[in-house]
Amino acid sequence: MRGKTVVLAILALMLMGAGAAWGATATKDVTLSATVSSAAKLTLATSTVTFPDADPDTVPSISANENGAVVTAKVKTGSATTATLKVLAADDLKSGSDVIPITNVTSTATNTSGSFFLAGPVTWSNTSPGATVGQGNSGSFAGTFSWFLANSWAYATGSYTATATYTLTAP
Amino acid sequence: MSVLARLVLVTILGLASPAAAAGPAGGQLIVTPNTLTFQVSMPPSVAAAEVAVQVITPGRIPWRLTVIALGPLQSPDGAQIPASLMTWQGSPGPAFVNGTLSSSHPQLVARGEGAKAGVVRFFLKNRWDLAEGRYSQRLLFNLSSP
Repeated sequence: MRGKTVVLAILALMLMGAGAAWGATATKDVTLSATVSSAAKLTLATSTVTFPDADPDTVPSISANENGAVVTAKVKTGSATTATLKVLAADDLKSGSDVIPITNVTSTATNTSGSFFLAGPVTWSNTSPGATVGQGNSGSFAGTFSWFLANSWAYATGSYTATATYTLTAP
Repeated sequence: MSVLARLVLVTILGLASPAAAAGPAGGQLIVTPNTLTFQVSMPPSVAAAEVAVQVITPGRIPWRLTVIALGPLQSPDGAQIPASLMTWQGSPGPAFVNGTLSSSHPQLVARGEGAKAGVVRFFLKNRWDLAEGRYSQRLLFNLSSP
């Protein structure tokens, strides 16, 4: 009986030693929560588009001087929704009382990074919500825009102007 | 077995049992708060949140603290953010280290001997291709001793 007691006492000391070596684990749960807000950022290398005078017989479609302007669209939208880029003209091209319908203006686009801008040609409009020139999911996109004016002998001489607004929307 | 032998055995179990109940042989891990919240707005702003970590051990026992995400961050409509977009800075060093979160392998957060306290500041990389939404996931901190 004395022998057993000694053996068990040694065993007890060994177990206490093992406790100091610490062969166990403790865990802790932490909940991670992230809210990603919708966001949109649009840049266009030019704020003016100019169509030079041209002979309708030789230049039926006038290219804007600024063609090839760089455009970037950065957008965060929901995974089940689509971001859109629209252009809306405030009015027709006007020179005093002379008018060139804004629908005679078209634009095209080339995607240089990602795929968001519509190749077109897209016909401009002054009716809300305007013409769609880009659409897609979340991402950072780059491309170039070009603009064209259908030429016509019917246009009265003059300097015509109109304003248009590009709007990038992340629903 | 004699009466005396039984008494000794009870004593042995009595020494081992409370340590297991309190955590790793008397070691304790405290992480507060138990929720990390990130508000992700327009890039390049960085979303950050932090937890305070406290490791309590009896004596100078060596330990390791790791963290693993139990998957990518998930939104209710199925969008995901990879756990690897989350990094952290641990302080004070050298016990607390910097790292990148993983959902496949536990990553070292800190190691040391004896009691230590520190702060782990998490950052969520903000990218334009993150879909709008509310995401959640669980992190598991694990304190162990070899």
